Formats: sequence, C-alpha cells, structure tokens
Amino acid sequence: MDQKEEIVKELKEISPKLAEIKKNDPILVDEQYFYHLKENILVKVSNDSKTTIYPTHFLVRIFLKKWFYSAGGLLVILILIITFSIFRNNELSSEEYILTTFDSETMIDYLLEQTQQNEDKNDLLYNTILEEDIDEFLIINEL
Amino acid sequence: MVIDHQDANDLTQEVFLKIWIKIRSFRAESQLFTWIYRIAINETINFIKAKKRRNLISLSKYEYQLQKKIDMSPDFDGDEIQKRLLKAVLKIPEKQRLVFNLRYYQELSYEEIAEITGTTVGALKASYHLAVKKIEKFVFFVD
Repeated sequence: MDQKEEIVKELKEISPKLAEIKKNDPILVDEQYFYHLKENILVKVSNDSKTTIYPTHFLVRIFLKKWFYSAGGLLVILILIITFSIFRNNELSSEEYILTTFDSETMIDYLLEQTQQNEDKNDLLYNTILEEDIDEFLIINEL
Repeated sequence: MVIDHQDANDLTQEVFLKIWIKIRSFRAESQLFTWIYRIAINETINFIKAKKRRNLISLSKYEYQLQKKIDMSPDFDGDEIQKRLLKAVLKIPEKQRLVFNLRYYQELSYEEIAEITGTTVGALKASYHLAVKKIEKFVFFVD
C-alpha cells in the first residue's frame, strides 16, 4: 500500500470526521518568495563565511568550545591547590628529616648544655641581685 | 509551526545556513532529508523558545497570538473548517503538534519521523493518536 493511502486509512480509523477535511496547506506563499529566499541565503552564507571559519578537525572544534576554557580554568586551580598542599607537607617533613639526622646522644648532650647555660645565667642573675642589694619585691612588681 | 510568514522566512534561511555549516559533519548514517528535517525542527524549537524569551510571554500566550494571526492573516486561503483545524493544531502540546505536522501535512512514515525526532515508532503512534483525538475535539466539539 502507498504511504499516502496508509496515512489516510489510519486517519479514517482514528477520526473519520477529520479524514473528511480537504487536506492542503491553506496559507498562501507569495510567488517571489523562493526567488528572494535563494538570494538571501547566499548573502547570509557569504557573510558567515567571511566572518567565521568552521574547523573540521574535532580537536580544533573542542578548543573553540566555551566549556573547554571553564574546565581548563578549574583544572589550573586544582593543580595550584594540589601543588601548594604538597609543598606544605614537604616543608613539615623537612624539619622532621633534619631531626632524624642527629643521633640521640648528640641531642641529649645539646639539651644538657642548654640547661647548663640557662642555670649559669640564672646564677649570674642571682649574684648580681645580691651584690647590688636590689629589692626583689621591686623586680616582681615591675614584672 | 510558526504560522507567520516573516518568521517562516527567517527560519528557512537559518535552516539553510545551518545545513551549509554542518554539511561536512553529515556521516550518511541517516537519510539526507531526515537529517535536514532534524536541523529544521531543532531550529524551529529554538526559534520559538527565543521568541517567547524575547517577548517575555508563556507558551500558551504565544500560541494564542498565533491563533489570532490565523484569523487576521491575509495569506490564509482556506475554508472555515481548515481554519479551525489549523487553530486546533496550535492548541495541542508541542511534541504532539510536531508529530501531527510530520504525519498529516508532510506525510512521512513513522520510521522516518522516528529517525528525525529520535523517538520510538510505538511512542510516535501513541502521540499521533492522541493528537488526532484532541484536534478532532477542538475542531468539531469545542466552540
């Protein structure tokens, strides 16, 4: 069966009343319509070709998409954040690394030496206070 | 779909321009005419959306304006029942209107419409059936 006949048959089955309506496009088209259409399209195509180059390679087409630049921007921000956090971690671990280069005996010696120096300083301070006969309450109040 | 002559003219030019731009990406996986129909439909839907956005009006109001245009258009050359049919087509949902236009006016097979719209044949048959029933109601039973 011809496609046209099949469509009419189907329409008659669904709505016999609608199938009775004379089928044509009731909107008039001016005689010059298609003549001008051809000219107008050629003008548009030529204007469009002058201003826009349409790349055929898919990689080039991707580079021209707006989302590509947004995604690129996000990627740069992400890389910066990751780099910064790695740098910070390395900074902390470098301090730990320096500490691991000393053995425990050296570290104990260093701490004892520091304590001894502090005690010497304190002794010197006490002696000065006693020798100069400074009122200790005055120092406490000042502090 | 757009009724207005000037709109149809603009749209036709846009469709040909799009075809010119996209023809290199046509892979011949579908028939050329269904590919062109797909471009035309996408352009029409985008055109209607843009027009509504520009004029800040809702879909139903836009369609009401088109119905009034049918009444006033000097280009309308049909009888009263054809006018009622054209106005009834504007009252049904956009998707059903599209299927109805492609089947009733363009006389395309369901397989061709499926290729154009990316919908299944079963869904299209259901859409067309519903569209015909609604149009019949608007043409013959609603004042």
